[in-house]
Amino acid sequence: MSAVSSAAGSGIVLGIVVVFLFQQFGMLGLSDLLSTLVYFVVAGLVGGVVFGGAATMLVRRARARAAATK
Amino acid sequence: MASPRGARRSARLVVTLTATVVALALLAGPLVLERTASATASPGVSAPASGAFRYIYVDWNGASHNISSAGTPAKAFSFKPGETGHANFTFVFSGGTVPTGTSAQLQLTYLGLVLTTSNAAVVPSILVPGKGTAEVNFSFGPLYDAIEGAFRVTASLVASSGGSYWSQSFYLFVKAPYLLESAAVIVLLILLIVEAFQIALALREARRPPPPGTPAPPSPAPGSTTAPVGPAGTESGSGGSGPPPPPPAGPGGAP
Repeated sequence: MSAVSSAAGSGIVLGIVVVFLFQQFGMLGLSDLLSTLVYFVVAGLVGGVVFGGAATMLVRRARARAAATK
Repeated sequence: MASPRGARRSARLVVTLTATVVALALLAGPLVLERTASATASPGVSAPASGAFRYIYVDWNGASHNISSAGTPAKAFSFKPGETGHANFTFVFSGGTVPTGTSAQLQLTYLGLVLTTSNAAVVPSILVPGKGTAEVNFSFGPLYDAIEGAFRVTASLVASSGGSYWSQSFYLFVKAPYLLESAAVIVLLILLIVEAFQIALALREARRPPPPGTPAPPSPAPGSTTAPVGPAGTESGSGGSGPPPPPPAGPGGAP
């Protein structure tokens, strides 16, 4: 559970960082507060869900493999 | 021995997921932005709002750079933060004369906050009634070392009462001299890569079978009569499924 929450948190941070990165590359404008918040929330959700899902899958696979080894 | 293959697979998974996030953001960002821009953009050489102007031109750093050509971040004018930009306003009021106190203004906004505002008074033309010109000098001021990326600037003609006759936004693409923000983002990305690598390493270690001499950890089978040895007090009296502890044997305790 802790690994999954850590991965989801990392995904949220990565999503927000990606938004800033796009602004620096000139692909996004962050002038309006509302649209910026929408970008942050969407990117954070996508990152959190993707990374949390990946971590859940990895943990399940590792547990199954450990059980099979025993 | 499946551990190297598993580690490779998990590393591939992390790379795939990162690429997915970046691709989603690449696809969704410009789409949302395009929709927002098309909803808010004014036409280039403006038909002014409420018919107050015959025309308005605002040129950025020269006659060939009308601000209407930089309405999206992808088409932003490049700008060095240390330099001073010039916006030349030229307009003709359809009302006949330029109202006194009219000024031209440039505002830089970021995250909903107005960072800088530059103003200049409008100079009415003597020859053409209703025609006015203004030149606004624009710079980032003390922020110029840290600012980088696409920033929206709003050009507007402001009445003396504070109301706006007309406004239009355009974008400037600014490169900070020391790439401070880019450096911060790159450090964060390196941290992310290190984290992903460490996760992959930890998974690989977890999958590796223990060496032959290592004793197996105690794992009590369900219904077994021996409780695992643990720290004092952790297992005693925890449910009563095991046998009661033997009574202390004293010297004359047995019959």
